[in-house]
Amino acid sequence: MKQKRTHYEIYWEILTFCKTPKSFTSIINRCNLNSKIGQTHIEFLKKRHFLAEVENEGMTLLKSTEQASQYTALFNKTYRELFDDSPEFRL
Amino acid sequence: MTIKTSEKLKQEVNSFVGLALINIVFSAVAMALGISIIVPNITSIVTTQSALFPQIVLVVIGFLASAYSIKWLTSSAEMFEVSTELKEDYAKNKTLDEEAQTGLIVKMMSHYRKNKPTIKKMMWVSRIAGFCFLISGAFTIITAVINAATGVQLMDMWTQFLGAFINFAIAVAGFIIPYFFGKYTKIWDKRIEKNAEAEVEFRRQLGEE
Repeated sequence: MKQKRTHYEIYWEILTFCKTPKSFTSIINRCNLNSKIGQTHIEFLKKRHFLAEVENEGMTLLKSTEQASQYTALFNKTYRELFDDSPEFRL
Repeated sequence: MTIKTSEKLKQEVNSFVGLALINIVFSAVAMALGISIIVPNITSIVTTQSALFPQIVLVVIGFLASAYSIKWLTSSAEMFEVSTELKEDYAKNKTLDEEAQTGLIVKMMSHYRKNKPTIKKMMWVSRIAGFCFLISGAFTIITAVINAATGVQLMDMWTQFLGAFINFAIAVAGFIIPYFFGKYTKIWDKRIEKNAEAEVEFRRQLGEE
């Protein structure tokens, strides 16, 4: 089923997934993106030095950097706080 | 905090699945009941080649109730699909470390953003269907009372009262279910609002400002 994510959420998904080096194809499959949008997001993250290219057995893979962990940590904290601090939905 | 979040996620996912399930059951019963109001009255009209005023009213109400119940059912099916998907996600990551928890929150939030119009529509459709069944129940009772006054057999009268009771039960469900979805939307709207405030910090982190 389709979802409606903000680009901050997509960045978090990409960066979390790329904690270990991943190929472009596996990123767009896992994060449910089309290649054009996936390319745009990945380029943005590379430009900001949140993603770095690494060579592995002749293949170029992408891995999130130390700088990215600050963003993912902030994201985790913010989302969990906003969930924890709001009233609970119960039947 | 991790355990608290995990427990809360479990509770919310289960409540949402429960609500979606109740919703789909009642919308299906409502649709069936709507059709069951139409069929005997149409059959009677066709057989006798004449239409009494109560029969015409019940056929019209039955058509309206069925139409809104079908819309209610299709929206319910969408909600049920979302809820089962979330439940499966939760079941896959039962240990739920911090990242998995955030991932599930992101998924719940993005599903809510996408399905908010469907939920809003469903809330109105189920209220309208509930209103149709309320009228149908009231009309059945009035007919039963008139029949009783004119000496109709007691058995028929009790059948009519039972029918009215079922109509009222569906009407109550048609009003109560939107109340719970309203509660659900209120909570998620608040979370989305808070999230929009937090995006300022994300922008700063990403160097967009």
